[in-house]
Amino acid sequence: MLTHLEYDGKEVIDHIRFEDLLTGGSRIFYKTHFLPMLMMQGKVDELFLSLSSKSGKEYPVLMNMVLSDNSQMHTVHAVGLHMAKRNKYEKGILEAKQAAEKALKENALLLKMKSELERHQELLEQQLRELKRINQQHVEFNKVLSHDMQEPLRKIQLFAGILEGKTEKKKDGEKFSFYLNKLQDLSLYSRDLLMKLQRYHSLEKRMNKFTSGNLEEMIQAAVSKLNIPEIQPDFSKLRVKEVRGDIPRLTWVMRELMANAYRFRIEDTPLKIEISSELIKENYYKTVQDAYRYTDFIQIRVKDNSMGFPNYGQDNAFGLLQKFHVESGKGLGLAYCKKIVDLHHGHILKKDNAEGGSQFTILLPYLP
Amino acid sequence: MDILKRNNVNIIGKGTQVIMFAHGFGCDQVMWRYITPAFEEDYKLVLFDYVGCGKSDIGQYNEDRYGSLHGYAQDILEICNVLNLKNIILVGHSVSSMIGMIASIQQPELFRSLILVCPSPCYINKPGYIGGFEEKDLQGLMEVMENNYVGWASFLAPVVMKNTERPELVEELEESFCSMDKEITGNFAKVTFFSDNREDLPKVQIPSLILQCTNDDIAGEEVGAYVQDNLRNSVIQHMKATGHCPHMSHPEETITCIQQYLQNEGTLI
Repeated sequence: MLTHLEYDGKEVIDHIRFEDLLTGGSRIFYKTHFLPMLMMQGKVDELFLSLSSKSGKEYPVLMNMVLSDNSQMHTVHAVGLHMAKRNKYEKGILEAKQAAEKALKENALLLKMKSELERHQELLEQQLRELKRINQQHVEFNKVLSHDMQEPLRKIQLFAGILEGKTEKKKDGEKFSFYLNKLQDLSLYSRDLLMKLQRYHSLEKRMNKFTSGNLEEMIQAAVSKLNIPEIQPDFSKLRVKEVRGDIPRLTWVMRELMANAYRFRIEDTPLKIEISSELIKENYYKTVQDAYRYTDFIQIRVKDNSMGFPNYGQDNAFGLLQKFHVESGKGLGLAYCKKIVDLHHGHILKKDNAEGGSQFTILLPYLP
Repeated sequence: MDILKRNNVNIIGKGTQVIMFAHGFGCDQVMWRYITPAFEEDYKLVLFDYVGCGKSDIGQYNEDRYGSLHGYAQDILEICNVLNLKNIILVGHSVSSMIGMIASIQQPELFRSLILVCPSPCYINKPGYIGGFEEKDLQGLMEVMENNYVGWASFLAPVVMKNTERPELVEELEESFCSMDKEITGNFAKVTFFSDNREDLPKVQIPSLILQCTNDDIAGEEVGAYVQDNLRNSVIQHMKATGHCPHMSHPEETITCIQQYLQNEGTLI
């Protein structure tokens, strides 16, 4: 064997390790697969390895190895057989086998694709039909929100006002105008809510054209708009700043999350907000099952030390009209955030911080 | 889908602090056998096989998903989430060092620290970077693997066969250690050895220990030093152990290194 490998016995013994005699590829497989097997089960049979001669010629061998442990030393006993001719023959078989496998695989793949395509087409038809129906409903509902329901409320307010003006300051007059005022307030509240709902509902149609923005500038814009001295976010960990989308609306999302942190701050504790970003790879497919394509997403985390949210389910927090605290507004803020992120084909998740406070993670497709 | 069955998840140990062990390319969770006894008393140990390795459910293998190390990282994250694991110490060997880092970048809040056994972010030499291998070495690896699977009487790879009626071909795989399906292993080798994850190193936020072996042909000293230079909060431990699998060849030293790191973790950061 030494002659074939062009080495002198003295050159090898005590100077060259067995793995040094292997070709690069054989060395990797020997170290990552065969050696662990040898150590675990004490022997490996019929392993194919390629030795490399001094001048770089390949010398294929088939080996059996046994591990013997005597006290302190691990010894490997190995028997090998040069198999150049056989290897050529096997290579021939292998190539034929690979070709057959490839053809079979392609065939299987084609058949699978064909049936999947048919299934998807059917699904697509159903979904398009469903989408059309929902869209129609959407339009109708929008009209109800913006007109049909606003009008009676406006009239209630109007008539209540007239009535209040006509009330004589009789015995029950005070009580009477108290209820009238309540009526007016309620209808005002309902009108406001309706208007907001209608704006929420019609957001799709009002989205701005996607442009590029700078996350740091967006946060700064949101902070100056909020104009609350306690809101001083730490954005030293913004590792990616390029964002593409409806920049004014995404800025609004940042503003809303910071406003929430302030709204639910713990008294006597200085408010801390940390906003970080990172480029990560995520599976693009979230709805289609068993489909994978890892693409770039910008991951934005907004972490604060507020009192956080009660342990609502992950998705509940973003539900329409969900209110967590008495101080809450109309319960539209987070729902809005979610809708805006959804319309960017992104995701928003809420997690309770281990150290208290809340943490929002926004994932947006990275489109540089 | 039963993720615990899919990844052949095994949980042992009497403690509560979680150590998760992730095996490298070419083997399965059995490779941790000499390490786990030392931690069983004080920790909760989570062991698993990646889909396509060991006794995992080969039927769940998806070429697109596992065509990227991110698909393997998703295995780790899914196991952590389904078991509701927190504050995890992740021990990853070889390619699992990178897979573990990717998982930690995606969900840093799940992990406490990473213990990277013989890590390499890129095996191929690049301008200004010595990974240790040339592209032709890795082509050679594919060839050697092909040659070694001649012995299997299977004319058709089980992956291709998975929906047909010859389960005995798959069964054959399940008998020996580190058993692997040819097709899947070929893909795993490609994604392991052709990946370049150098850009991910600076994104890791949690502290880590790098275990660097002497004379490691797969991940050499320069590679270990490169990892440490680019990984914040990392310490490197040069081991007397030689080779690429210290947890099998030198379990005592490996155990000591891990224990020392875990004891001093607070002071090192």
